[in-house]
Amino acid sequence: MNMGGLESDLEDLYRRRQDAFQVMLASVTGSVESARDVVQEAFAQALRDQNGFRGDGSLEAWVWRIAFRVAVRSKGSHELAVDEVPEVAFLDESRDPMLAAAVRELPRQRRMAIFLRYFADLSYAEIGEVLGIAEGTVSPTLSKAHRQLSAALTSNEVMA
Amino acid sequence: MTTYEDNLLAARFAALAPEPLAGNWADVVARAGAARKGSPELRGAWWLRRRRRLVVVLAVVALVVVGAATAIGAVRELILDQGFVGIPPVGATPSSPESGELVVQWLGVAAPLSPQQVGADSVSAWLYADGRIIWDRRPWHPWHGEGGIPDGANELNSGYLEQRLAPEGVELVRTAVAELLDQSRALVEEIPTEERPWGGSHHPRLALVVPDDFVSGWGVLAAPDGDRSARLLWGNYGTDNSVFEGTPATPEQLSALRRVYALLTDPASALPSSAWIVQKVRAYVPSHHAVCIDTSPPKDVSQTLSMLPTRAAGLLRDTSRTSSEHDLSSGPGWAPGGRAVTYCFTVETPQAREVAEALSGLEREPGWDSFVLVYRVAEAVDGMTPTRIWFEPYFPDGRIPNSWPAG
Repeated sequence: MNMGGLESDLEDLYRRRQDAFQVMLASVTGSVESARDVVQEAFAQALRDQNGFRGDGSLEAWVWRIAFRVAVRSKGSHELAVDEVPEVAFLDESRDPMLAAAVRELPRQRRMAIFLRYFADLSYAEIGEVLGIAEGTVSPTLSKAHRQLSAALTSNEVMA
Repeated sequence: MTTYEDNLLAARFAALAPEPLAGNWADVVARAGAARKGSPELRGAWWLRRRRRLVVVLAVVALVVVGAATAIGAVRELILDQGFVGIPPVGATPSSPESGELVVQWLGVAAPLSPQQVGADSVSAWLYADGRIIWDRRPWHPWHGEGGIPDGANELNSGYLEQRLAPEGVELVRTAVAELLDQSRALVEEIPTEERPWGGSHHPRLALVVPDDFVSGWGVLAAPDGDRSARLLWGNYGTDNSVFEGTPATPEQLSALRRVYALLTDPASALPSSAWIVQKVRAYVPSHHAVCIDTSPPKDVSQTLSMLPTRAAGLLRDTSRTSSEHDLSSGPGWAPGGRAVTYCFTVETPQAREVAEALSGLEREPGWDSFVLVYRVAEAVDGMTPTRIWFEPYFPDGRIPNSWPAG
């Protein structure tokens, strides 16, 4: 791996995607300010630990995994296990309480998949890499999440 | 879930997405570098540290390390991706090539960048035939936004920044400038090439008068024209009637000026992607600096150097220099009456750094730190101005830009 090239790729990734990183990670850390710090630190870690990127997956997915570990650590929580998915939640649930309630009911992995899809705008392959599941499993995971959300929203919104 | 439902859900998520804050790649690089050198305790507790302000006055700026290390011991380029004031950090890669042919220089009042939107900014730009465009921006109001002026040195000054146009981009600017000058031929003044276009005297009638609501309320540009420079000034009546009693601009002139304004104050928006080689902003790093001393009343060079710390005087004594006497009212002191002399010594950047270190015991000139590295050498005597020493970068055309706040 050409380290100069990887540094340049990381910078390019940062410049293109740091907004998405912040938005997504704020749902883990609880604030945009702390999410920004997490993004800064995650990319710094990636720069330092370039040997950790083996090149057999996407660079972005690798940085996401670093970022989630940093985000969880920044909250003082325990270290994430390899296959563990962090908790995510909306920052301001009052802006769409029905969606927030529906999302809260999702199992943790489905919830994360939905956030990665809509907040991080990741492809199925990247979601699979971040979650540590096969790409073929992402589609059914998202489908189940969609069905559950759709049912909950329809029911709640009809009742409302 | 249908596509419609998918889009609806995406829209609801988008409405709940928080507003991200400005990023700063230099901070990432600095963190990476600091942790390489830092203690494990610091690395583990980074979120407890106070957020560092990376925009500093002198040369302590973040570095971006680019380029490939092709072998052990290979030399890497150190590119600064943020403006600075004073001397660049050790090892920073100088702008290349060292010299360049000037195509146009511009100083103008420009609309402020978001989020200020109040007052007006001052933007200077120098375009060279090799494609380099060097510019600085000074906001009317201090920029208190997150991260300061984008890529800037501090909240009052971007520092000198550099981008690089492709030949197509240079030609687009050159053509636009030529068109403006052609349309304003009766108002164009020929000045000596060594004269700063915004300095010296000018005929008050040789100015293009623009409407009060024009994008630029005041400005000047100059393009080399044989062994002279063609200079065009513009301003609105509201700026200063005595200076701008020139000719009201025609719609064609306004259109041409608006085009040049866009190309030189916001080239990223005004030029197509094919017009660029390097759009990413980097600091302009000179190979040489001018170390200038201004003192009044005028003294010879030996007397002037004797006012400096011995080591600084020794470093400058045998270097090439220029000198110019001037009225105090046109110098950096702005005091009425009297004469002063300015000596400027040409030194390579490492030598400039040595001189700066030798001067570090002197008092920094209050209020000007954001624009120029300047020390007060001696207090004013007999109603004159203080003796000061400051550092200017040499630009590719062999001139210094004059970094004073008023300049």
